Amino acid sequence: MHEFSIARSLVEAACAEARRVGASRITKLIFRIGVLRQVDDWLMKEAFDLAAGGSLCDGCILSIEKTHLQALCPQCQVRFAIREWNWNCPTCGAEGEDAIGGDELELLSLDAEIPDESGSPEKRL
Amino acid sequence: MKVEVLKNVFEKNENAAGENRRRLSARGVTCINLLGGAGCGKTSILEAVLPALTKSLRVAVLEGDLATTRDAARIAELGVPVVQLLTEGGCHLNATLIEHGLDRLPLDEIDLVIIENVGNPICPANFDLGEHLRISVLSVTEGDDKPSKYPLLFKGVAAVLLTKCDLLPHTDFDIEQARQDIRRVNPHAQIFETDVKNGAGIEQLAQWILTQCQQPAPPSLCSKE
Repeated sequence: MHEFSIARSLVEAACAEARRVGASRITKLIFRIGVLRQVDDWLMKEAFDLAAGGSLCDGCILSIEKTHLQALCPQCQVRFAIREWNWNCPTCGAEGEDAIGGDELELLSLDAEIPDESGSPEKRL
Repeated sequence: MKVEVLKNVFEKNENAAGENRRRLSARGVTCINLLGGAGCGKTSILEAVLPALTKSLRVAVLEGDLATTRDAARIAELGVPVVQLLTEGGCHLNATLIEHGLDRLPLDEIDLVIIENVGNPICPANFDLGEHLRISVLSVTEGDDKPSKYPLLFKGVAAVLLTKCDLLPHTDFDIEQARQDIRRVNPHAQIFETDVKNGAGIEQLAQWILTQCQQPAPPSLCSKE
């Protein structure tokens, strides 16, 4: 249940970004998370909705992009994703070596409503 | 309007962790984060290794738990200063909890702080606490498939302790399989086979920890600084 901690941190990061660009509301977030973080997507979305309540992210769509553990083939120098704990290079079958990746926790982008100077929508927090 | 961000979501916790690490390093204190599932033997390992460590180091323990002060009481019996950090249902410690724990320790009179994390193979591994080293604990009764199921628990750690090795004859645990899977995500981890009932591996572990504490600037394996 670390999903709630992650959700709260994500909402904080997104709200800080929204304030920086003068947004009144965030409508969509793209969040990249590595499988090593062992986050359940459904729980993550539930936790996000809870954490977002009353903030600039309230009602925002959370789009989750998953990344896999990565390995590097020592023979053909190709990077490949580890799925089902299969460490064999898909090209030559050699055992891959651990490469960076799979532990991301990144807010990639957000869709923000930015009020113009005339009829600016009401700010929520 | 679409805003490109690319921001680490755990920046706040990692900043707090970095602050803890600086605070400890400035006083020459080494900090170890001990992680593993519930019942893997974290407290028992501490009980076994602390008497050897306290011969030459001033050690304190931050004891993380969901509830009760039972583990802290076990450590206090050894005469080691201990602060209980109760998460009250929270499944992991975070850097801010550690900051408050450190406030309650006389850091100028301590060489080594060991944080015993909440028993859980998943959540605690996600949170940098400001430690210099991580040590993961895996008991042979949990099964040799755990490194492949919980790779983050083993990635980036300085050492892995295989515990309860006296029970190996009674389990199907394949030590070589476990070692291979640990090496896959962490080729540099020191792996110790231990058993607190007979004291196997405890002296080697104590020596290794002492060596880590003698490094002038302990390696920050978990740090992205």
